[in-house]
Amino acid sequence: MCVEGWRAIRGGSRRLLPPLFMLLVMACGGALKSVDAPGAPPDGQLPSALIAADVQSRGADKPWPYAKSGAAVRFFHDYRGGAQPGETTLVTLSFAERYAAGELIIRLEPMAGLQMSPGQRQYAYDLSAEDLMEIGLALGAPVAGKYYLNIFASVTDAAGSMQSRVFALGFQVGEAVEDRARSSQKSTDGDAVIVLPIIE
Amino acid sequence: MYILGAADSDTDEYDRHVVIHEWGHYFEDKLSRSDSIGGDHSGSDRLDLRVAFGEGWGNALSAMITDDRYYRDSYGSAQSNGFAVDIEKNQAVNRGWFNESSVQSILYDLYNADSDGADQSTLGLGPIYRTLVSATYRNTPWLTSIFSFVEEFKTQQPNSGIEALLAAQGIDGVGGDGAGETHNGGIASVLPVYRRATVNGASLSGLCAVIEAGSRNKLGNRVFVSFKVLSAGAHNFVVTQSPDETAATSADIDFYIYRRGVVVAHALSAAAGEERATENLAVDDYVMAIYAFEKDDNPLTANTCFDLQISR
Repeated sequence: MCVEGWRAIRGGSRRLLPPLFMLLVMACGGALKSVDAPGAPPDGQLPSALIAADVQSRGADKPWPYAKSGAAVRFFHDYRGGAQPGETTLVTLSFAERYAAGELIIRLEPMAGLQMSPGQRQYAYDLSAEDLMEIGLALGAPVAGKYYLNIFASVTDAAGSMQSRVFALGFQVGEAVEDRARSSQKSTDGDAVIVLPIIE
Repeated sequence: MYILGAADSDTDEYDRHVVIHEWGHYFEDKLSRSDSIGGDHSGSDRLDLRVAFGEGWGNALSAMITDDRYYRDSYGSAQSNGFAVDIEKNQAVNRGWFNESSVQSILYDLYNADSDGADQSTLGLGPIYRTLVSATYRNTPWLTSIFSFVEEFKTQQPNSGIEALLAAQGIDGVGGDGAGETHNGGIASVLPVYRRATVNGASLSGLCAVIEAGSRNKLGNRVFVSFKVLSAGAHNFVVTQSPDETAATSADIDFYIYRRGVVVAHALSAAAGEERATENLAVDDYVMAIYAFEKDDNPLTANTCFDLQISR
């Protein structure tokens, strides 16, 4: 199988959006947040050295972290945040791949409490098609908090081999609350570190 | 090492193959040598040769350490989903020196006791380990790849049967530089694996960084040029975009110069169409990696060809 450069393909989900939006009672907004980790990419993927950060450092001869093996699928979205409880946010998920043939399955799994419309969880795409693939969603939650939409991409290539890759879209409803457990500093013997202001 | 640990999304702490694969990169970096530039990759990708070897090594090591040929990666709600890659499988899509599946197939066949097809080797991990930590492998002037591995491995294990494994994966180049390699993965410009430049010699033309296999870390994205420094001193490097380049705008050409895997010079300016550097170099063998810089939010859409002049 000939593998091509990243190519986005178009799916049919857009036509689901008009009825979807009429049914929704949530409002727009939200703030993109991602897990606090080194090299957190800006596109909503779970950041990890195992997922290539999408930023090349010009000054490094090893510009990207090692990434684990998986499907040659990349994920993008247009979510830029600002959601409030009870509001909906319109989000478009986009995918690009490098296959000339095969099948791509996208499965969406929202965390409990995250409302997603349409409710369709699975999308299938023929990788020999040249279309752009986008999934339009309306996301929201009645209760403030941090939610994730888990996105599972599985490709069965022309040789019949299946590989997957997992993405997540972080979806903040309301103001982000500082994780006190994460922010508190502990010494090695378990006592809390008291941080004092510096006076020069 | 960072391991994904998101419950109901991707929980790699439960995936021993994934953990061992990543540890394999740590091993390369600390005890052996890796010139990999990292980045995303898949089993069917045509990759930069450095990436292909590092990722194939990680996959093969995970199967060796566990004695489980199926690399497994679980994910999803309650870790109920996953996929597996058969490291023993020899039928790689886009097989070759630029493919991680080919690399892992070769390494695992050297290790394991099962004989399948071209595999008549049962050497265990020891010879592979000794190759990777050897001073010769770690100090080769060539970039780390299946070629540099095989060069040292054959020195240590002259009767290993690795030639048949290489042939089965469509790899016929010899030496650390893959001289004489005839398989280009469908991209003519990637052969020879290393172009040869001569200090104060004629300009090396027709060097092309191409995006047929994808961008960033894929086969053909970088052009590799070797040269010898015969007289120590200041050397001038000028890379100029070829005047017949059809790209609409001038490319941002960058390059690195490596001495046995160590960066000794680089030219990373944002200048369009040309890149220059002057560096004092000792007598030795060197490798350049020349490429068109791309931002992730603005990937390359055209190939870039350029000329190289080295003078002293």
